[in-house]
Amino acid sequence: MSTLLISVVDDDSSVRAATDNLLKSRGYIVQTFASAEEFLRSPRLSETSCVVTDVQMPVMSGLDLLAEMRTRGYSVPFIFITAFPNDRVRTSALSAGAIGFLAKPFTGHALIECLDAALEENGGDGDI
Amino acid sequence: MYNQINNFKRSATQFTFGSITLAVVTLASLYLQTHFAETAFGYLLVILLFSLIGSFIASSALSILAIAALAYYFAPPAFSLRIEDPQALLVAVAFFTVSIVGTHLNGKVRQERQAARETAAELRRSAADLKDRENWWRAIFEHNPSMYVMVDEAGTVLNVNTFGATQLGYARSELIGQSVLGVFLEEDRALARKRIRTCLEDITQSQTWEAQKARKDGSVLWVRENAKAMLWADDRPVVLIACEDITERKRTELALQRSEAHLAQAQELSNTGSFGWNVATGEAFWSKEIFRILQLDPQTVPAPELVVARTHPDDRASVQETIDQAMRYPRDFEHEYRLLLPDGSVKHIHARARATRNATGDIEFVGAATDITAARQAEQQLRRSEAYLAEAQHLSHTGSWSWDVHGLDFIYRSAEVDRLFGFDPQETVSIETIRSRIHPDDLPRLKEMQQLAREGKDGRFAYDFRILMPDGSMRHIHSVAHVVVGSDGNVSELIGTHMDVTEQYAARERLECTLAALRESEQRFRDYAETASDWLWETGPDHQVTHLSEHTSAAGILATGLMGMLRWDIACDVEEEPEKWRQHRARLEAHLPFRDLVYRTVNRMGSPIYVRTSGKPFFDINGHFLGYRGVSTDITAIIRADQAEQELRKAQAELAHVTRVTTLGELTTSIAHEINQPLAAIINNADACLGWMNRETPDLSAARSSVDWIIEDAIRASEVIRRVRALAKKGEIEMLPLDINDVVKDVIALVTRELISHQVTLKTELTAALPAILGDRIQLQQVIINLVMNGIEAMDAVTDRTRELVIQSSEDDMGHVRVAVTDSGVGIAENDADRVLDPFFTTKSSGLGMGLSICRSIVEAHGGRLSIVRKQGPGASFRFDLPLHKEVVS
Repeated sequence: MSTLLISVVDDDSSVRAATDNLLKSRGYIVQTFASAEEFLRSPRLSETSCVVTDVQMPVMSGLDLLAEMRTRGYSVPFIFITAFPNDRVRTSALSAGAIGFLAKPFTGHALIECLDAALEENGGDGDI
Repeated sequence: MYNQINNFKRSATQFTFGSITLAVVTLASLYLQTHFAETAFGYLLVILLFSLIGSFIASSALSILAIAALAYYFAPPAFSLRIEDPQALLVAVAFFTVSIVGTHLNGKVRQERQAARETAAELRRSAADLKDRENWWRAIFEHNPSMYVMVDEAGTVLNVNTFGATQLGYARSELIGQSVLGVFLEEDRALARKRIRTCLEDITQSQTWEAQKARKDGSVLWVRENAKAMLWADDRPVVLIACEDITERKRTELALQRSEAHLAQAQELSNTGSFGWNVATGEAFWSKEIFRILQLDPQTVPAPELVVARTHPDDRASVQETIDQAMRYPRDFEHEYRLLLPDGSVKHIHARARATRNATGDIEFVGAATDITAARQAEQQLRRSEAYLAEAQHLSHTGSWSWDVHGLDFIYRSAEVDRLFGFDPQETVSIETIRSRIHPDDLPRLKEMQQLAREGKDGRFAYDFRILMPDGSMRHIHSVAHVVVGSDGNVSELIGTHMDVTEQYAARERLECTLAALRESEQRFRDYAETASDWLWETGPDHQVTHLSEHTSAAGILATGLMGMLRWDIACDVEEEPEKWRQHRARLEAHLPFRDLVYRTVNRMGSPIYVRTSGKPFFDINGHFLGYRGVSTDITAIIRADQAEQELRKAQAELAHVTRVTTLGELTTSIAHEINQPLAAIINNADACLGWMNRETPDLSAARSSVDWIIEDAIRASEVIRRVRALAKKGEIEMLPLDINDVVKDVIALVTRELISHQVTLKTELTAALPAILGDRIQLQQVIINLVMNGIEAMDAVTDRTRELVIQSSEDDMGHVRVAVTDSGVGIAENDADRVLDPFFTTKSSGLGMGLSICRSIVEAHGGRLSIVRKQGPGASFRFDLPLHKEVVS
């Protein structure tokens, strides 16, 4: 059981709630955000060990958020999920440094795997 | 004394001459020597002779002397006085006796003769005297200024004095022997006869009466008659009547009586009583009227205190004061006071008195007291009616006036006239000031009216003018006046009234405006009705046609002979559509309005026509149903056009379906996302549920929540599918009452992902609680989706500003619900604006260019209108208006 903090960003409330539910059932500590902007305003930004975010969101997309985090100097791993899986998005996501890219609907197992890989890589260290 | 002296003289003469004669006889006897007896005889003769002179004493003295001489000279002894001879003595005694007796007798005879002579003289004197007296009495009788009449028992005039006859205008001879009744008036004769009888019954008693006598010339004489009967020489009774002419007195008396009566009457009529009051003695005199005024018994002894007692308590002190003043200072006084009479009534008294000094030098007040109650009441009445008049004038804004046409000024004007001109009636206002308030435009007309009135003398006239008030407001005055013609035949004044008719004027203007508006309104509605229909109709309480009015534009349609018929007798489709007519007749029986009843009938030429008619019941003021009024239109052409339109609609619907399906194709990605989202959530939650269950201590509560969410998400996914199916469905058009906001929300659910993927921010401004519209949900969704998709597309090229799409819903003033979709995209070129809504117009590289055209058809099929709105800033705005749903009455 990890005590690492996972941040979930999705503008779809039911998906957000379901993701939250899934991760919590697996014993993760989760915080959810309805938008990228809300996440960026979070006081626990630096404590986040992994970000699970939707790609298509109004105003600021998941890719924009990744870029912003990197700009701010956070190397926290990103897992993208999307309902519009296409190669262009996948490529740009992975090239931007995403650990995982999941198409909706995805299985819980796929997400946990991706998450574990991300946390592994990050070494449980939230900082760079 | 004279007699004594006379007697003495006579006695002395008798004695002297007797003595001488005796001496002579003695000497002669001595000379002749006669005897004693002879000498005695001689002596006796002398004595007797001288006794004739009359004095008995002288005769006696001579007798004694003769005896002495006899005794001395002739009786022996001679020369002595002694008589010795008894014969001689006897002779001497006889001589003495004879001489004394003779002397006495002689004296007696002489006395007798003297007496007889005296008696005769007396008698003569008496006769003359009687004659004189008779003349005297006769003169008195004749000339006494009284009338004397002597009548017998039968009333025949025995005598009348000249004065009496003359007074009556007769000669004495004309009356004497005639009946005295002839000089009485016919009506008094019986009375005169009775009076004569009365006199005769008691002769000793004199009777007095007043009577009228008729003169010969017929004039009347008033007399006072004093009559008494007496017995005439032969015991015949006669009546003596003395009459005194009292005509003058009688006249005076009558005049006095009359004037007293007049005075009394005048006092009574004028309610004026007179009084006198001697201050010194306290004596008072009141005329009858005073008693009447004071309601006192005329027998009451008058006194000022009685007046005070009757005086009204409020005035008592002042009356007492007046009386006290009068007693102290004898001056004229005048006062007014009220009486409170025993019957409770109140009288107003005005009294005046003059102080005079009477014969005895006392101060006496003489005056008059007038009951002025009526005058006071009249005065009060007048004052009250003047007050009422003033009030009435004030309330009715009417002033009365009198105008001097020569002096050109008011002779009189009521307070209200001043008020009408805006002046305080208490102020003095000059005619110039008043004139200055008359509207200058009206002055010439006023002068003209006056001139006309003066010249024409034409009874009454009326005119209007305006008054300009200092506050700038205006008063309208209606004036009615008539002329007054003076004694010289010229118009001297005008009498009239000014009435403030400002309100009436305003009311009239309002009424005229209202009437004009009414006429206009009537015309307007007639125009509406004529424009909107082909003919107007009216039916009576029994629903039979009573009136038909074909418009000229539609003349010739109606069949003839429709008057008096029922609508269902005129219609030809009663059997085909019994339910429609049953409902219609039920509405008519319920006196409810009906609208757009369509029925088939025939026109004048016998061809079938379709008529659409609407009607409203009308009632009298008491609410009694009188019938229906309405309009009808020949809609044959419309009905025929309907079929064609229905065909067109069908084609349009198919086209709309095609475009919808096309749109769905365009939305596939978005729709897939909309379905994938809940599916992703379902999978996650299912996984989570397993996770919760697989824990060492399964968390069932969390697992149950997870399952709940699964259900919600599954429902969400099925909703998306439902919407897509609906849009893809090719179904009948279903017109139902809708809330346009619900339609908008359905659309948003479908396009949300599309907005996100195009990075478009959606802003909705939906007005809550909008009235329902009647429409087909799918078709309206299609319109909104089209507009939204166009908007999203128009913003694709935008990178320099926010891509914002605004959806608004609202209600406008004209009874429409409005939906606007506004983007901030590239906008529409000026020259494209007119064509944007046309079929096959497109600026896109792909697409048929049918989207907006079909939207327009759909909106118009809903009775609405689709339009492009000019907007500030970049982008385009499309708007469609739909009529509100109303309960349609058929």
